[in-house]
Amino acid sequence: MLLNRPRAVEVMERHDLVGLIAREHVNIYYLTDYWDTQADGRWPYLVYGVLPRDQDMPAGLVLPTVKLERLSVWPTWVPNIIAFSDYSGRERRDEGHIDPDQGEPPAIAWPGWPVREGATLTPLEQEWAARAGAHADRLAATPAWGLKRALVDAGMTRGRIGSDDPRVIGWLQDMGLPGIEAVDATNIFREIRMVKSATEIEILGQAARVNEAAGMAAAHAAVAGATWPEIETVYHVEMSQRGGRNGHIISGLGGLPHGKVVPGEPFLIDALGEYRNYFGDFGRTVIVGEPSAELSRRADAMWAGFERACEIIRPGLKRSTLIAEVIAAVQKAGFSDFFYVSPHSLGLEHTDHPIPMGPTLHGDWNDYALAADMVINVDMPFFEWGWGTMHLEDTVVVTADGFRPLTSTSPALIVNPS
Amino acid sequence: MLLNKPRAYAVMDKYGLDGLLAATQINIYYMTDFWGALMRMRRSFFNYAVLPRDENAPAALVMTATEAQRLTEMPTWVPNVVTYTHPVHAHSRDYDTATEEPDAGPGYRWPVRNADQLPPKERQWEAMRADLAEKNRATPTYALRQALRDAGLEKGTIGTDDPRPVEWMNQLGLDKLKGVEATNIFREIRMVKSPDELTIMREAARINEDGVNAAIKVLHVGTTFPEIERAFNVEVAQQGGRAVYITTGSGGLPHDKVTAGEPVMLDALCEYRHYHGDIGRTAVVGEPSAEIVLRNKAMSVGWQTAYETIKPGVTGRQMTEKVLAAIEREGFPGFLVATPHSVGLEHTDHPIPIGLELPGSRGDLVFEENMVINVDLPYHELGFGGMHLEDVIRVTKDGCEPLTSMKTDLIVIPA
Repeated sequence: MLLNRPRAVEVMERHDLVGLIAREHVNIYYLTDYWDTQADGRWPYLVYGVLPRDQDMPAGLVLPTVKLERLSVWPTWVPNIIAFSDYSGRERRDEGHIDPDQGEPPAIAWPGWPVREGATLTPLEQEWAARAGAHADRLAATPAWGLKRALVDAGMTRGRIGSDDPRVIGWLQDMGLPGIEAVDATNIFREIRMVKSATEIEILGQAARVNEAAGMAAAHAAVAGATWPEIETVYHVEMSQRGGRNGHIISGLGGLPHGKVVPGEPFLIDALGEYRNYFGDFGRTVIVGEPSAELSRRADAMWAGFERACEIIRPGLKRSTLIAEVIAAVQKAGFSDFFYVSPHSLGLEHTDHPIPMGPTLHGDWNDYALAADMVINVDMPFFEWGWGTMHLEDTVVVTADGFRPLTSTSPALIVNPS
Repeated sequence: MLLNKPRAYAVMDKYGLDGLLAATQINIYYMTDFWGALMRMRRSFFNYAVLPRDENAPAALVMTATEAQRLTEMPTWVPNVVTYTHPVHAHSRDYDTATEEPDAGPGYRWPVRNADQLPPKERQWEAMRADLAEKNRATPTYALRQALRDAGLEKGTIGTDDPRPVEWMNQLGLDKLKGVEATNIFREIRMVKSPDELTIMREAARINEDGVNAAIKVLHVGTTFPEIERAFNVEVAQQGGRAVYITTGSGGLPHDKVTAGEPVMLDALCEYRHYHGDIGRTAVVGEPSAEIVLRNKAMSVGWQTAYETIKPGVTGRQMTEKVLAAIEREGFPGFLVATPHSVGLEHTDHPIPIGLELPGSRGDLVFEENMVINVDLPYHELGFGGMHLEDVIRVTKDGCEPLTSMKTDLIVIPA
């Protein structure tokens, strides 16, 4: 189970919520372990996850009936699976909107795909047929009606409900649940997710390894004259070969200053790739040819900064303290221009902790304290126009009394022959 | 420019909108051509796009000042780029947010060495930073307020794909600003493609088809799904795309591996520059039965029927009825799904009922020139196998043009 359920309950209590509705794909996945192709195709409002605070009540997953088979590939721990008619409706015309006084309209029948008469079904096919049969006579009419059922089953018919898309709560109020109140839970989900479950830490470890290996392959492909698209392709292919999904690798935000790799000019790589929808994030400095004394000194200083981070990372450490200590260590080691460190929690989002949104300002609540089982990246970029760029970024998991690295913590400087 | 601007204006007029506000990534990209690193990180509410209906008012892009140099890689046509700095020490308790705006501060300024010898790109980045810094705001929300003011939309009625930013604008003093749910309004605009979109989508379709062909090449008796997926993902990556998914049916392979004589359906979706390619094929390892051959031929006739039927003014329902009838006539009576869908930044890139709307309540999908359409023809039969045909077409003035090969023959791989 990806979900850190004790933490979810604790956070819901803190925010006085009776439960959560996930509409964003990462949160549906987090609550249910189920990842839908709808998520990958960017369809919103077809799949939902529901988590009641009361652990005796059933969590719910709403999905299209034709995706029931997919639960064999992405099994869920969630007990209450509600399927709605699909393929039934895209071209069906029913004028008007739902009249809540009339209750749920009838769903279009979907008995499941045909079964060949007399065939011996494989165990998987038997499972698929059983799933289709079990849901055939209780399909919901639409995703929204399925969601309403999930809430009723979970006892979430009144009270404050957190959702990452509060407009969904408005629909449910109009569908006959006037006693529920919407709470924007974009950051509440992040608050839960920032402390990882054991399953998540396992996946994040794999994500870190896959992403680092792909990032290193890209770094080693950076020979003199190489263009960024060439380097990028190496990263993407390597990610794919290792079972990840090609993500995003950058060398600064505007690309290489000369449009290609130039011997003697350092440049950064910052690789962000996905494995089972969790991010790996890794950064290093690359130089083609012999590094200058200045570059070596700066790289050593940045490493000293990371070592300082490793010395002090433990539960209770404030983000602001971590930043100040790392910058001081880098500067003390001889890199006086270094000034920027951005530690961030890593997970289903690149920045997997609450982030200011709306009218709130950064200073309001960005200085969180580390907790055991947080997965943290220490992000240390440096740019100097006319000289080059540098980066050092590794991933660690915070333990009860320190940390454990998820990346290999390999040397800060990658030197490629010219 | 990705945006189909004339259509955007026409759709805004249809719904009585003074402008559009995009908060979701695909719509920001669509309206500005810009896809930033924060968007890739799945970070919501850090980028926005504003398109006023008034053609003389400036469209806007809201982005972090830290990413400004990315505009040299992904230039935007949008004239009003409003950046923000996120000063880390600014605290709401120090401001009356309805009337006061926090100081944006200088933002990050990276050091410069030998300023007179910078390469052109770095000179451009530094100039861009200095130019944008003049109007830096403190946060994305304040930057959005500035963009709306610059566009003359403070009291307007605007369509938005997320209502929250409008509520925040109301809290920050734009209390006359009104938001209209526009998830499907954006789709209605996007479903007819601009020339730049068509260029990208041709490439997306080509890369995706190469990807599925690479997956087909690894099929043999005993191939597992992860092997199929890897072949697709690697090929797409090799060509500069991003694999989204490949499926052999929602639940995987019935035997957990490819078996001789059992048809395998492949449905593959990739992205190229954030636009989708989508394709379906049927393959069989070993000698196919006469039934498989007949069924695939019937589906091919169905696909050809779709191709010959689709033109501006025809409805999706009319096409579906003709396709299903043709497949049945060709000897495949149990075939039941023929779903056309627009494809683009979303897999299904046309308005779809959401919330309280019932299926079909938006009326028929009516084909228009320059829509890019997939016709989905999946079939599964437990104890038999899976089959699929799907190609990509562009609707032309009087018919359609294929963007994929339309090679609908059954793919037979020697056992």
